[in-house]
Amino acid sequence: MVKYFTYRLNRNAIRLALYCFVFGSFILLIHLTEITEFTLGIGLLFTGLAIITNSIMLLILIIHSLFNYKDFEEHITTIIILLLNIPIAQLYLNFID
Amino acid sequence: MNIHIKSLLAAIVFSFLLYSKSIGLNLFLISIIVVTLLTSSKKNTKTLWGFNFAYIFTAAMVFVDPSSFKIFIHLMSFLLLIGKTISEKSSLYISWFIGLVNMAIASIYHLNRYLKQPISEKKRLSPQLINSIKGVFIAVVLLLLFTTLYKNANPVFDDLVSQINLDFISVPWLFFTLIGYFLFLHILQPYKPKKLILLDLAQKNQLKAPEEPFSEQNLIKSESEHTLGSIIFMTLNTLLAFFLVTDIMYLLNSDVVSNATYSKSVHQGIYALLFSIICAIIIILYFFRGNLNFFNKNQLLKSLSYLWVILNTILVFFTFYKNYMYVEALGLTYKRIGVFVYLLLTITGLCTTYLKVAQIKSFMYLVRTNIAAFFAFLFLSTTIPWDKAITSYNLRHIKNPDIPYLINLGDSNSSILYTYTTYQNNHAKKDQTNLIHQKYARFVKEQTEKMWQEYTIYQLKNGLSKW
Repeated sequence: MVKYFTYRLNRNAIRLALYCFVFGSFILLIHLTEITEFTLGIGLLFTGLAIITNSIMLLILIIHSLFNYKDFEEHITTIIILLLNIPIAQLYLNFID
Repeated sequence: MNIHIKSLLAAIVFSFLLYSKSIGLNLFLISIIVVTLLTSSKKNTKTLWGFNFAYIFTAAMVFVDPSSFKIFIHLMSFLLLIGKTISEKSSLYISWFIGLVNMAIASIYHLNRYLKQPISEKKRLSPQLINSIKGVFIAVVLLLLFTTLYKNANPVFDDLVSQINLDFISVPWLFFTLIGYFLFLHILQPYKPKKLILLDLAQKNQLKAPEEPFSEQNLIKSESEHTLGSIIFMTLNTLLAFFLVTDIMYLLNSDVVSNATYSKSVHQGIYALLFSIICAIIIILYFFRGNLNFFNKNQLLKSLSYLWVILNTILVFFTFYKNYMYVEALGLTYKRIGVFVYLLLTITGLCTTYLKVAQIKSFMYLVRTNIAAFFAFLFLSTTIPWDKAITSYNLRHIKNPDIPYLINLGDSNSSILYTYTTYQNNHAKKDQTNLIHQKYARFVKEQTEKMWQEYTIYQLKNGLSKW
C-alpha cells in the first residue's frame, strides 16, 4: 500500500504514523499486562515524543503540500493517516483511566 | 437537476433539521435524504443496498435510543456507505478510508482538476443554465421590489409579509448550511482515488504458490525455519498448557475468591489474553508469510500452530467464564460488556488465523476479515439500548447494585431508576434517591421541550408531541 505514495516525504510520514501506532499499542499492552509506574512513564514519554515528532511532520507535510499542490490528494491522504493516531491515542488514554 | 442546486436544497433541509438541535428523528430523515440522493445518482447493486440498509438501520437505532456511541457507529456506517458507492469492490477498511478522504477533499480535488485543465477543455456553463440563473436573479430582484410596493398599498398584504420571520438566518446558520452544502456536494460528486482502489484490488486473499520447485538453497532455508518455528511453538504451547492447568485449579477453588480478586483475575486474564493472541498471530504470520506454506514437510509446524490456536481458544473460554462469574456477582458495566465483545472478537481472530494457515491465505485476508467482523459487531451492538439494559439487569439480578454507577449512566435509564425508587425494598440511600429524582425530572423536562426534529421513540411512546 505504501506504493500509493509517490513522494518520499509522504512515505516517511506514513511509516512514522505506523511506527507510532505499533509502538504505542505495544507499550499499552505491556502496561495493561503489568501495571507499573515505569511503563506508565515510558508511555507518557513516548506520547510526548510522538506529539512533538508528529506535529513537526504535520507542519512539514502542510508546507510540502502547498509547494506541490498538484498532487494534493496524496498529501491530504497522508495528513489524514497521520492525524488518525489522535483518536487512537485518545482511546488508549481511556483504557488507562 | 444540477448537483450544486441539489446540494444547496439538501443543505437547507440539513440546516432546518440539524441546526442547534439534539439528535433524534432528524438524523433518520437526513439518512433517508442521503440514500435517496445516492440511489438516484447511481444504480444500486445488492451489496450497495445492504450498506444503504445498514446506514438507515443505524439511524433508526439512534432514533430509538440516542447515545454518543450509536451516533459514532452511524457516522462510521455513513463513511462506509460513501466509500462503497465510490468503489464497491474495495475492502471494508479501504472503503471506510475512501469515505473519510472523500468527505474531506472531494470539492478541493475537483476544483484542482478544473484549474489544471487547459482553458480550451474547460467545461463552460450551458446557455440554458446561464439563462436560468439570470431569470432567477431578475425574478428575485423584481419580487423584492414589488413586495415593497404592494406592502405600502395594502395593509392586509403588509401584515402577511411582516409575519415572515427570517430571524433564524445568522452567521453561524449560514456557516452550518455551507458545511451541509459541501457535505452533499461531496456525496454527489465524489473523489475516486483510482490508484488506491487498484492497489487494494491487487492484494489477493490467497497466497500465490511458487511457480518453480524449491531450489536447494530455499529448501535448506525452509527446513531451518521449520525447525526454529517448531521449537518456538512447542515451548509456547507447553507454557500456555501449564498456564491453563493453573487456571483450572484457580477456577475450581473460586468459592474462596473475593470480589476484588475476581476483578483482578478477570483483568489480568484479559490482558494476558490480549498479549498472547497478538503474539500468536504475529508469530504465525511470520512463519507462514511465504515459502513455508508450500514446504512439503511443514505438517509438524502446522499442527503446532493449530494447537496454539486451540489453547488460546480455551484461554478465551476460561476468561469468558471468569467474566460471567464477575458479572453474576457484581452486575453489568460497560467495561465488563466490553470484555465479552473483546472475547467474541478474539474468537473470530483465532478462527481466521486458523483459516489463514489451513487454506494458505494472505496477511490481507486476515486484516480484511477481522476488520469486517469488527464492523459487524459494531453494527449489531446498535440494536441494544445499553444504558437501559445495564440498569434493568443490575436492579433485577444484583443484591446490592452499584446505584452511583447507574446514576452516572446516560439519561435514558432515568425512568427505570425512578420506578425502582418507588419500590419498598429498594437499596437506594436517601441522597441517591434525591439524585435519581433530579435526574428523572431533568430528563422529563428535556423530553417535553424537544422540537419535532429532535423527537425520539420516547415521544412516540408517551405522546408528548407539541403538535
